[in-house]
Amino acid sequence: MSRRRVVITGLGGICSLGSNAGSIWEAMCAGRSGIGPLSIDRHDLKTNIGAEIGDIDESAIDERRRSTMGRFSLLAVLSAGEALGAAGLEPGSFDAARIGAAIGVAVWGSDAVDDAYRDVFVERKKRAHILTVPRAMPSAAAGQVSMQFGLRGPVFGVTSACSSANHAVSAAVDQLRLGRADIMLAGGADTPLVYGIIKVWETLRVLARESCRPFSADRDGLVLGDGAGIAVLETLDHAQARGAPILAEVVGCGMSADAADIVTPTVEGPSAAMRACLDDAGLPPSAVDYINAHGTGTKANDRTETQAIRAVFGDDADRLGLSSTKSMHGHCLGASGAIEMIACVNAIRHGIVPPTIGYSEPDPECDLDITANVARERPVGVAMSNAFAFGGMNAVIALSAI
Amino acid sequence: MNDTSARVIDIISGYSKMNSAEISNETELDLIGINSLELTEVVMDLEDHYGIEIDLNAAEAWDSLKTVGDVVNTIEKLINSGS
Repeated sequence: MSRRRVVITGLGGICSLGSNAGSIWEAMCAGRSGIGPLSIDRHDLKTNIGAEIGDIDESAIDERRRSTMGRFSLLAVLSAGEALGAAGLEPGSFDAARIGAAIGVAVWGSDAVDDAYRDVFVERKKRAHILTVPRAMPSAAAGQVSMQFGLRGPVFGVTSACSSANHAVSAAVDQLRLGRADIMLAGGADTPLVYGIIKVWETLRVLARESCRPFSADRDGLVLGDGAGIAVLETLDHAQARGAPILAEVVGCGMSADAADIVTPTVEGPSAAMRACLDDAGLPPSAVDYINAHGTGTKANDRTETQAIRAVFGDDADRLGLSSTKSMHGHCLGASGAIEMIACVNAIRHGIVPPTIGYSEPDPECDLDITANVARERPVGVAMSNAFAFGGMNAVIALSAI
Repeated sequence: MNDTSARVIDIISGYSKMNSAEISNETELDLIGINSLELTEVVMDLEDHYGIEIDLNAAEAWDSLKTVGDVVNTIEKLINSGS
């Protein structure tokens, strides 16, 4: 039996670059940075940069429902609403039992947990807010999306640190291929920019001091960002039958684990995930035109990712276009792969590779064509999106024009 | 072996399977099970002990501090500079 083909029929997103997928893509093409000074109460934090989201229009969400949400759930619901609208899926226009959601989250409702600790330990209150658990639980983003839009098919959260969104997309693709649903909302949401999360990331000593400069010799770490991205995934048959706008096809998903170190990446694990993705897509390495790199801007990732790409693509590694859009929207952890999916889909649709900004100094250990500082026009038939996480959990997806 | 060296070795041995007597300034960190994460913890312990700030992120520390002696030299420079 032939495999069901899966396509993307709508996109939604919100991050420091913009409050919808279109404005995020425009900012990427312009090479605009969303990274700036933090506006939160920093207490004793040394870190003073992040990729923050500005004011958010929450008016589409009922106030009582909003009060049950952590901020990451709010971002997920807003992005899901945008994606459903773009896909032409109004509430009531679909079979609720045949539509689900898989949403990646690396952290949790960080704002709710920070507030709870502050209430108990600083304010000396006798109890935390009654809604702390539903606001904080990592699966809440998927649950809130299902409630807001009436999705009654497979709905679950996915967590694999920085690979969460790509694992969520892969899991959603599986639901569709297996016939468990006709439509899946898939992506990620995370809000690490609160005191408690930044404080513990500071301790790891992988945060950049001034800016995120992936693949540049003077890079000194990653920059955290808030964000969410959601795609409407749908079987090709279903999308065609209802005349949906088809943006791209998800042709392959590849997953692997390093099974090595909790923080230090290997070359073999990411290579295996990229190979598995190509195998799943039935494509040779030469078919890939653009890779949206994991490209965190840490010494370790960018070096090993370069080696892994060379191991998989051989001579083709020098032909393909590569970039790390994290240089602009920061590392949104569980949402990263989803925001980078917006980059990949639009790279295919518009024939533009978004840049790696902040690049100032070549690094012989990162010697791929990283599309430095300025977007570049080039035909993109197939785009690949890499995600490699702490814990050695790797997930790679491949998208194709259709 | 001076006081700084002895103190650094004492802290490093806490993150290694080797005991202090088996570690010298010439010992390579990698060979006694001190990887980048352990080294970051060592650096933080040294900051707390000496009341100094070692402005190295995890990768920079790993790239520049290869032996126990490298760590000792870095600490002594910072102490002497009054940091």
